[in-house]
Amino acid sequence: MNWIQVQTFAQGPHTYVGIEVFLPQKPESGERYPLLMLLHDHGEDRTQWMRQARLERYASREGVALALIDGNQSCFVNSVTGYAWGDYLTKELPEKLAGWFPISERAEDHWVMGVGTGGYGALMAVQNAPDCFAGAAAVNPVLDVSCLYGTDYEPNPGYIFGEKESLEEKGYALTGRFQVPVRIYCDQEHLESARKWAEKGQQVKVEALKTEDLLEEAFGAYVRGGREA
Amino acid sequence: MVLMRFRIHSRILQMETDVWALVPGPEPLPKHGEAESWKVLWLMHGGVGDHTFWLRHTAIEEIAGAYGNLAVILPDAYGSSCVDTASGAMFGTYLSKELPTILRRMLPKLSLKREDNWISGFSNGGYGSLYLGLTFPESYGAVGAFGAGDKADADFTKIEQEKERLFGKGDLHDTPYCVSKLAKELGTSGRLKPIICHGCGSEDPWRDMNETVRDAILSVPGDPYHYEFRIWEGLGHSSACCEAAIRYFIQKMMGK
Repeated sequence: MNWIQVQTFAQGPHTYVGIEVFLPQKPESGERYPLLMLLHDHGEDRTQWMRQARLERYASREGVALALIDGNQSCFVNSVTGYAWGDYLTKELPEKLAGWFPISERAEDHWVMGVGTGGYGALMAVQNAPDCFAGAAAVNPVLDVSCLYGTDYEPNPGYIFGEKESLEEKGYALTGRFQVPVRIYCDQEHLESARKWAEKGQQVKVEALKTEDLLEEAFGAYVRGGREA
Repeated sequence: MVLMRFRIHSRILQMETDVWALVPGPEPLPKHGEAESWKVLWLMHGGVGDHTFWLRHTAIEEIAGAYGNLAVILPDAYGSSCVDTASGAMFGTYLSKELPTILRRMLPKLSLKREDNWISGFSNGGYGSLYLGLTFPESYGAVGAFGAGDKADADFTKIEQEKERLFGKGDLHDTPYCVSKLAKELGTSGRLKPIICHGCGSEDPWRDMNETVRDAILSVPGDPYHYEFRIWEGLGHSSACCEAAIRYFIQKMMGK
């Protein structure tokens, strides 16, 4: 695939961001590619997915364009302090990518996938902006960010979500009820709690990961067929 | 502007290579199909340089970013002087044919029009711009060649092997590497001809070589290149001259 490292100003978070873009090898004139956006975990950056999974092996075969994006420490949601990482992910980024590259601008060709806190961000994206995506996937996602309070988590979760008691009210709680198909991939440690969480959900499926290459296994499964409802 | 760092595969060079690009933005862009295209400055680095040169040593982003519809493409030509080398490596064909094809597929807004595509560079990249513009005149509407003499007039006594690798043995004045010869031949042919803007600093140690090329181009009857030669007073063969020259060339081509 063609690998493009983009540095641009992002209006949502009001900062400069990096984006790693992978385009299928031989884009033909006029053709536009479906887009999968990949979100990193806490303590990581946009390169996590490309370092921990052989993305090109699967994406090139399926003809999918990839965008690995930075979320800094935002969990990819609009923070109470005014940094609109969620808007950047759901609106600004797909628009920018389709403006520069031969990437589809249609919501039904856009997917988002994340790991850990990035998994939370991916699920929040489709919960808040179901019109912007065809679906989402998460690997070992943080399903309830209230667990981050009172830990040594940096930054203090209060700077992202506000008071622990008002998560639901401020819209930072995942409902589990989605309007687009959602896949959750979990290792043994996270599997039971995710299954329990998904029981009351809607349009959400939980799958067990069998290998230690969590990101590669989940990515491969999602790109090859998991995106279908 | 938006910086894009491409890692692409060149079949001609048989390698993975770097290309950097500055493209308009980051404001929201018109959607595909809407009437917008970017003029394209293909900008070549010098002999001791790479694709990062112009960004690191000049204010190219500020200069080009003032227009909003100009993209700057910064390829890595290694030590090739941008030519199809005598020993086989086809850098000229890569830069003028393959690279535009690859990039236009990935950046559909790059203008396809010849008059919107300009080749420019400093030092070896300036020579390379003349070589490319005169060898592939159908690809470029204009050449901006700065700090640029003719390799056929250069002294290679200390780098004889390197000279052989790039340009072959012997005198170069009757070869496709002599830009004065290329200018005369193309100038009297029926092929398309790029505008040529050429010049160097007044203190450039190779100023005489620039002037030799100037005289050769001026000797072509009818001024088919709408040729302009400039001297930047007080500047040498330096990044300050690079910046002054590219600022002038971009203003000239953008018409303001």
